[in-house]
Amino acid sequence: MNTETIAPAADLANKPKWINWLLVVGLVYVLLMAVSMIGGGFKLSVGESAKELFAFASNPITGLVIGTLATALIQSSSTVTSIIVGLVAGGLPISIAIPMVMGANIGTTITNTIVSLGHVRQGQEFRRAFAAATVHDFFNLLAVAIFLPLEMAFGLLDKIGGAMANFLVGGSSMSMKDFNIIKAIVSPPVKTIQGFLESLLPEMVTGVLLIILGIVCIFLSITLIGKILRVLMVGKAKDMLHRAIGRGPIAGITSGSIITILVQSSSTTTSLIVPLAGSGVFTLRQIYPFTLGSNIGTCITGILAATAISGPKAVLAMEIALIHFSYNLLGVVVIYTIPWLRTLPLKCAEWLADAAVKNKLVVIVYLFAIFLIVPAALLSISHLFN
Amino acid sequence: MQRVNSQRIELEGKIAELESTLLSLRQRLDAVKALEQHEAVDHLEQCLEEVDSRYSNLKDFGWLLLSDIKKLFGRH
Repeated sequence: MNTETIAPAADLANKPKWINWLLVVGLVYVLLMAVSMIGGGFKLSVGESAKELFAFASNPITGLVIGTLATALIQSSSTVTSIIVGLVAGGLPISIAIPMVMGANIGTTITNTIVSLGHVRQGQEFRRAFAAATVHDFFNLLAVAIFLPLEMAFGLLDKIGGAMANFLVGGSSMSMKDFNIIKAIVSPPVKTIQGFLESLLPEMVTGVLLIILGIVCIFLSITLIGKILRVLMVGKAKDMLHRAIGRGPIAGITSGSIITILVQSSSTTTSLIVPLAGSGVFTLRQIYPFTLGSNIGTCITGILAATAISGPKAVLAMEIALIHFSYNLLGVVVIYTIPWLRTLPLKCAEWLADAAVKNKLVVIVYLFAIFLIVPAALLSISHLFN
Repeated sequence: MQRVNSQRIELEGKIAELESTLLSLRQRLDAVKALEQHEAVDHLEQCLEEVDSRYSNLKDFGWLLLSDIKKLFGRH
């Protein structure tokens, strides 16, 4: 048991609930400010040249690899998608941001794989836990294999996200544009910080500092929100799981989505089921829909982050957040409703888990392959074709 | 003919009886499994603690892997 991390959790549990809720509200405010800071920082430091700045990532594979590696390092897809929303507000083209959010889905799967390694000394328990963790990896890889080519060929997600964002934030009189409360409460402190920095430093440096400050604040706020919500929401998560037991895949997907929204972290949701599967109480097929639900639930943070963006880029920021949502929703709908596609991640995860039980080196080879060798190979191949 | 007929009826009756017993056993097994799952969910806090211990998991796995590699190359 890790006493270093449990001690702060116990501290949070001992605090009155209202204090924890107040902290969550404060941290959400910091998150919104941070996203706004990134957008503002980019406008200030690179102005209209953001497109040229990100030209190195114009190849979709580069975007995919950046999203995967950044998320694997930070171990939080919500943080990376919120940063991407901020970057889009600062001028990052949507076409580059789409593969990045797809990569974030892949990168986030490393957390539950590491959690499953806790069972490595118990043969069959490890096999079940490792399969429960990697089924999420294979599902996300399959989703990228289906939707990235569709996006590159037809701009499918771009069109869906664009239509949804225009409906929500666009020109209609019923849009959020006219009564953006979040903009009103987020803008003043961001402008104050920006003004203070600008009084001391040149515009370019101020912009860069705002971007760095924004990224740090997003990371810290999402990490802390996750920790507090885990304490506050554990009872609700139990209720959701109790209700889903014996009720089939739709209930599993729904409970996975709702628990992820409640704890604001897909890696927490997918990791907490690893021990449940490892013990053999839940089968791989039972936890699979629950894992997929976490992909849908995690999109709420990006959508929330996008509400902090105002001005002409607000539609684009909301568009990328909604693209992330539609991608994850479509992924679940398409892959789970086609029987042979549905069973593919299950078969791959079972096969890999069997191999990993026989030889622990398989785990390392697998992790290196997913997060290093395959991205490097894909990058090299795509640059050759460029 | 009548003997064969009665034998068939008898066997069909036995099969129906066994199927109904099997169905009832399956339902009891499902109920036991569901109960076990509800009990596991009641201890969800322990699962959340495992999420926090991932770095020690990695360290532990590293040691295990190292000993496996040593074994593989014949060093003890």
